[in-house]
Amino acid sequence: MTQSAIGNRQSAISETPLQRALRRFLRDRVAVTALGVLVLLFLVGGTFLVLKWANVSWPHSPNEPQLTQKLQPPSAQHLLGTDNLGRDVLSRVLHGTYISLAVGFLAVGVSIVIGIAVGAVSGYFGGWVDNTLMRVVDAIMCFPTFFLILTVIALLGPSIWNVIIVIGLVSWTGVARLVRAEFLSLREMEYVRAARALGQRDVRIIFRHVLPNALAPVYVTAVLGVAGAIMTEAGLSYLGFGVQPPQASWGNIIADGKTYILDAWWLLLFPGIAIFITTLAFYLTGEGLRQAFEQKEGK
Amino acid sequence: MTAFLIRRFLISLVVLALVSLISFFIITLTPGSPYPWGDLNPKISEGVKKAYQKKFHLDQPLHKQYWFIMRDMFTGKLVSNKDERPVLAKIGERVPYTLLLNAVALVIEFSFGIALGIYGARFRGTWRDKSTAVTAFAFIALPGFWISYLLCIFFVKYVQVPLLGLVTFGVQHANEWTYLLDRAWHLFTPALVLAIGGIAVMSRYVRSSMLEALGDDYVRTARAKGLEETAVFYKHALRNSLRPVVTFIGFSLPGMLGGAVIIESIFGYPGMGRLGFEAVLERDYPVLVALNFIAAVLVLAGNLLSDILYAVVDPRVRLE
Repeated sequence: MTQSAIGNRQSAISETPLQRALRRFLRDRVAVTALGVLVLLFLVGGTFLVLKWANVSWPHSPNEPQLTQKLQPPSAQHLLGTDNLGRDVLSRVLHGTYISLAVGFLAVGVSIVIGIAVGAVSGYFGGWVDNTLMRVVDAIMCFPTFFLILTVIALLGPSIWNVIIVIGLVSWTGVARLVRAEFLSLREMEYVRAARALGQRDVRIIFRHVLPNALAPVYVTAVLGVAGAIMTEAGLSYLGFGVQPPQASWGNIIADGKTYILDAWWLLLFPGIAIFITTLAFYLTGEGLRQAFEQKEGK
Repeated sequence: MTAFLIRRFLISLVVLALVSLISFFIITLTPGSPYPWGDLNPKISEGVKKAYQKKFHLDQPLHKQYWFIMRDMFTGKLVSNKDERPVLAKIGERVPYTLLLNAVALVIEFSFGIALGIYGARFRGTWRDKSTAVTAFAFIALPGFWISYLLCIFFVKYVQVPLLGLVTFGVQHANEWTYLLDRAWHLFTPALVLAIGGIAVMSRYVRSSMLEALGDDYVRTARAKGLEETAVFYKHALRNSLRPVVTFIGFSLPGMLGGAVIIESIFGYPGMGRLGFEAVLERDYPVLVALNFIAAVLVLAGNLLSDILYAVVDPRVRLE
């Protein structure tokens, strides 16, 4: 018995921080369920992206109007009913999946690249560089984010690429602050000093030595950021400034359906549930990751 | 304290200058015409266009345009591109409504958020704690515009109260009380929608600061004295853990103003968010620049206020 206890203790010590985080994450049932939902969403999104490329209309065509079928309540033929042009709501919701996921991931990708660059430079060099960059971050944080995004998109002209880039350009400040804080403490560590004393260039120290150790909080922010970006895209599409018709997106299905709220509840309810489930899954996965990375052992 | 305030004030000025620069250049540098009419509109002659450009300084180089906008904003002479009313008056008449809406939303957030947070901390680690956590994240994950419509359907069909606008249109009120009640009904639903996300964030804050307080020495002392668990919990731990709640006020301001764009538009509520949305649609540059600037002032003031309140609530905090 003591033998195995010692063995466990040793394996616990020898595992890397990433392995430990993974082990803790897998113990959290809520987070694992949420991750399962996300995997499912990815499969759905991938499948329908392929179907779109292959030009297969299944279960129905998402974009082709069928005016004889308009505003049908949910039935065996149209499981989630049809909209005001007779398009199948289920097909439109399913085809909206990859739009939401793509916007979420690409926008967060943009914001993370900028955030890491600014945060790393700011935290590593310090001094006036840090001061200047952080004041810019403060200034951007003062803007009401959604309103700023809306303004820029409205002036640029709505398209899915503009939505992705603008969300990314506006939402990097949180990542920059996190990375900067990590860099501030990491740059004083002995191994960084040693690297500097060995005459390594700053760029190499930043990317090779410090950055890998500063990434843990970024993973969490990234997952939460995807949820935020999906929500923002839905809001923009709802206002008519996001994904343009006839391409379906969860936000613009709701926008089309709002005229009929008292007659055709299915137009409103189902895409909303899709947004809700997706963002909730991202939030719960992110929360699980945060706990897995942050919590001290035994606490 | 004084030194702190002066330094914070100076930093805020720098940040505000950056805000004005960023908002001006974002708006003017994005491609797209600055005119409230389409490029191909046949009714607009070259002369009309020239006159419009001259009136709003659009024929000047950018740095001069920036200077004119800033000068006019601070002297109060900035007028809207659309109806030529002073921008400050246009925004000023919306501010009370926005503040009222956000104040009601904050009250709802505080009452439910704190309760939910305490509940989670009280039953920490159990299924009750887990389910409050999931509830909180579900609240954050609800799209505001969607829940607005669901609430609209619910209230209109089952409770039968008026929702859209500030007061019911075309109703003569018998006295002040019925008028107030009418206003209250119109305020409640948008405030509730606005508060839903905040309730969740607030409950997470309260929970984690409660847990932190429960691990502190004075709580152990209180327990060691033989105090009852409820007394320890509500008298000792809770009081100390409400400090971050104060910071939350300043923290939540920008989100509330931004988040109100959609919700104010849905409910037809005449707040700053809807003014901004209309200005975006009409390409009303002066209103957009001024609106972003005022929002930034509110945010900075909110942050400063919450820092000061933090020191007032907790004498151990020194502002340096």
